[in-house]
Amino acid sequence: MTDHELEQRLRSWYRAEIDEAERAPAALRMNVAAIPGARPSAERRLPWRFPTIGRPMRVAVVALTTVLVVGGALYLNGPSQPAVGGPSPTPSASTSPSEPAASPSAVPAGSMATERGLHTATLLADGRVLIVGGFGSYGVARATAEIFDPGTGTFSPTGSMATARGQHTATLLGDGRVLIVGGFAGSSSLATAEIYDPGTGTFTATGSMSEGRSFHEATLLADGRVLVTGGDGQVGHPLATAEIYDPGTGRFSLTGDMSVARTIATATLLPDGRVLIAGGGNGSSGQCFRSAEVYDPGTGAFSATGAMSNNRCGHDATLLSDGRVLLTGGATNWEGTGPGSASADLYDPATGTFSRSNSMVDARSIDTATRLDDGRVLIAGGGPNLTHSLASAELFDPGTGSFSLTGSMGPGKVLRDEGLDASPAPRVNRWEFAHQGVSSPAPRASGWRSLGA
Amino acid sequence: MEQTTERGRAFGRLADGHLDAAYRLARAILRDPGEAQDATHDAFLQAWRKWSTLRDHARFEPWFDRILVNSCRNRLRHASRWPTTDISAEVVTAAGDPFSQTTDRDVLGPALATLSADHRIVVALRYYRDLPVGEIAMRLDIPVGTAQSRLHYALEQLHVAIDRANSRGAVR
Repeated sequence: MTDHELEQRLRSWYRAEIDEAERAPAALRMNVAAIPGARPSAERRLPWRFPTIGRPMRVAVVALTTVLVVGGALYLNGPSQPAVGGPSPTPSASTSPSEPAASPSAVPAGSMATERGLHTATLLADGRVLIVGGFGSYGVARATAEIFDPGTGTFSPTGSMATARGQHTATLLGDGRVLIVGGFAGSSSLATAEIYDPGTGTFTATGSMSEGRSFHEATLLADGRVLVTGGDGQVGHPLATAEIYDPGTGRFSLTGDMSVARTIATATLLPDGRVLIAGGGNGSSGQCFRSAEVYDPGTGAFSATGAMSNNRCGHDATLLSDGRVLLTGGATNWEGTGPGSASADLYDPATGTFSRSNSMVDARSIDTATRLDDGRVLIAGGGPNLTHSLASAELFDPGTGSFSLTGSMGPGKVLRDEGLDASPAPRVNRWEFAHQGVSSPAPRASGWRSLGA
Repeated sequence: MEQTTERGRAFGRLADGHLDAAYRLARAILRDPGEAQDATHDAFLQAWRKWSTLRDHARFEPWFDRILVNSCRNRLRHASRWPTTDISAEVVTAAGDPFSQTTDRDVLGPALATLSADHRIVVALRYYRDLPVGEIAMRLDIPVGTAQSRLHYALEQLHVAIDRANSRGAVR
């Protein structure tokens, strides 16, 4: 084949591949149109309970911290920890084309390809972590996904969703696939769901919910189905409804309603198969809820259980190894403008009651809580209010019922609040939870290691 | 404030007018619609940040194309999922009929995926956008000779990839 023939074939191939009548997707058009009015646009797109632009970025940082805490926990069981780190290349229009072409394998480790906040991070069965969607700068929803490989400490792209979304949920199903549900796409909550198959690296559409939801909760039940509760149906319209997704049929069906509409609550699978829904709010009183309810998959109904000692939104709920649930921190008022709480409660499913535990050292909301292999709970980041975030972390010891500070993630590293107008594009910092003492049978939360700034 | 609003309007008009073409170029380079969406959005974001550096709005297209191409390049360099070695499995069934458009869709896609980011970009600008080499050089901010050399090398590599697929197909 001559060069001329190849050129003709290339032109034909592009004509077949790219439809010249194809228009940019509506979501992209809307998001690009919003760019000149960036700051007010971003505020409008994000929920009213996150009234400053720093807040979603803080959430983004905390969310990614969750990923890496999980990844770090995997390292704890390995013979050694991989060497990772190094600055990431920053996308820039001024990047010189004459710089040496980097092969994919030469990309510095530890950086996502895309900035994200309010995305999800899901530990896959093979130890990798799936990062999905979220919002980029200016509150623009993302369709792309990436895989974090703790073996190499690198992120790599994987398939893209059909619909860009953030504030969705991602639930690892029993067969290793991941269910992506709902979320926010820029103008309203989504009812659609997609399934990610780690084997093929692709997303496929599955059944849709009866209504759109974002900031909802999704819980894998013991029988393999997924319970989806509450959330924002439309902006400003929290939901009391719940739906069940059956991976066998690929369909959602409505189940019993909660007693009140709840969004940014927590949902925790209890050892007996029921689900504890705690706190959250719906804006009706301006306060988050102290109340909680329990879902019984056998009856498909919610029933009231005890009340927490504090009102909580954006808090954490962690199932302890003894079957109790630790509930920590959170904001107390719905707008998120009040101070975060340092208080903690313990829920006992056997008695259906909450008891006040010792308080955390620092007040925190929108933080992360991860149960370690030895039963302790690592609480990291978050912040006491909308304008401050913490680098500190603490450990809850179920044996003593107390919290103690542990290694800090690093001063000034948790929150980069220069926000969305910063150039180059804001990128979340990446932190890997690392312990000191690989030979120790029990992990120790004694240090943090940067994956690159 | 008024000045800021006027700047935003001017940007908005140009962005709206070029959005579809920009998205299609990103699709031509990246192929994946989701990646193309993100790359296009990132490029417009960068363009807005650098808006004050564009003195002549009539030159928006080449100025923006450079930003878009860089955005795509950054994504390609992260994209380890692109196959870079053995493409015989994808192309073998089509290799027996090299002049068929139907088979070209199967053969050329995997062959293009073997190219580096820079080579894939020059190929898209030349054979999708139909830009002369001088225009490509200007958009990439590289000498014309470098653009020519990249194009030549890219075609050579495509020949190799397609020939390899053809020979494997013949053996089978």
